Amino acid sequence: MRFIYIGLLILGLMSCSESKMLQKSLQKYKAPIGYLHDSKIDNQLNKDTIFISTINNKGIDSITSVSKMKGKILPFIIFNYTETNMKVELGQSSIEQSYHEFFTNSLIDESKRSGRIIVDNRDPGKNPFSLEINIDTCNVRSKYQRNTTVLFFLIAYSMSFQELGFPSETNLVVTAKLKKEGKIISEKSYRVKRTQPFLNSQSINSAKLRSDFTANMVESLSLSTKQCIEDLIKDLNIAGI
Amino acid sequence: MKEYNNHNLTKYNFAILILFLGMFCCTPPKYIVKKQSELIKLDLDNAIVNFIPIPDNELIISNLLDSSFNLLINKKYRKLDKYINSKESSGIDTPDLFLSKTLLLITKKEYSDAFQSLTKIHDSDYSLLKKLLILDLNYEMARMNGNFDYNRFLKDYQSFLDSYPDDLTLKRIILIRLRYLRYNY
Repeated sequence: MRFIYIGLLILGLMSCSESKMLQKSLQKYKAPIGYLHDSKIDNQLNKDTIFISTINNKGIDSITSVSKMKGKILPFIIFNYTETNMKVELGQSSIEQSYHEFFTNSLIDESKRSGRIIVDNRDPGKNPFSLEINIDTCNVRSKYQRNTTVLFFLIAYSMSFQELGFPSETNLVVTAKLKKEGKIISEKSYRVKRTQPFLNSQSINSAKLRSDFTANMVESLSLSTKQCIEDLIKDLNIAGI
Repeated sequence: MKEYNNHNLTKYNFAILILFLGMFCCTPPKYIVKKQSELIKLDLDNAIVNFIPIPDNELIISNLLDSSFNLLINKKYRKLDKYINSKESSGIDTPDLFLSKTLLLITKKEYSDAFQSLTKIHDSDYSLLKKLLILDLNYEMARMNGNFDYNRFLKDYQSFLDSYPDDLTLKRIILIRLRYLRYNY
């Protein structure tokens, strides 16, 4: 009986440290953020320019964090199966560029392509209109799984490990306030929920899997940002300041 | 007894050699040549294979390119190599020959040689395909030399795509290229 308690204690300690170990390991991997603009370029001349007064980024955490989720233990006499699930939340530490800078530059680039009004972070000084952007929520979550299977034979045993990455889910909420001479004339929130399929979920080695896992989360954020910015520019075009 | 052990060791080494050769031969090519008309029908959204689109009309115009294309898609690389060498030795130096050679070298992952062959094609011939392959080969060579920069290639593919805004198949193909850049395949 004592051995069972010791075994369970060891398993418990191992599963607690596993999330800490994964968090430490994921800090080694950074993925580039970016996307391909596929909107048509509007070559209209003499476009007006509005100034982005502020972009507040409260949404994204500074460090990628890992926490434990419900797992599974199947302790049979000849077959043992342990499944550890961990919830990973993306932080700035896993993104190569600053998310704030990426958002600003993508907004400016998209407005230059498809916007009737160019959005710029340098104040042209003539237009009374300005834009205030608040990144309210920026959550990218995913699941990372580690399985251990042990098979006992009469005089020998076999042990195998497997690590798996799951699709990442992004929840992005951005509020845009259009101002005229400092007064808000219109306000709208843009909500994007996106699930990014993880195509290479069973890599041969765990280093590549963890690198791909980070890239998948950043890809999800990139494409959600793309959708949010495109919607914002479309609305600005309709507003036609 | 010693003789028996040596015999076993030879058998063991031979088995390992066969295994490695098998692994080497079975490594799939990173770029797959496909007819443009066939690419339109494919679901490319979740693909992780880079496609090289060959315009159908170019295959109708050039017999050499058509024969090379058929050998490539049937994975008869040695036969294609012989075919290209025979054409080269008979003094042919047409763009379709250089394109066939480039495609073969890309399939064999010999990217530097493929780039050399590609530069022999004039800009007026196969202009879209040439521009796309230059970007691909630059990416592969940057990866080999360890100076890969995601943002640089994103910009390059972006400006390439912007020169063909109405080509939807090209857009889908480039989106896969960007997945390769992001995941550093």
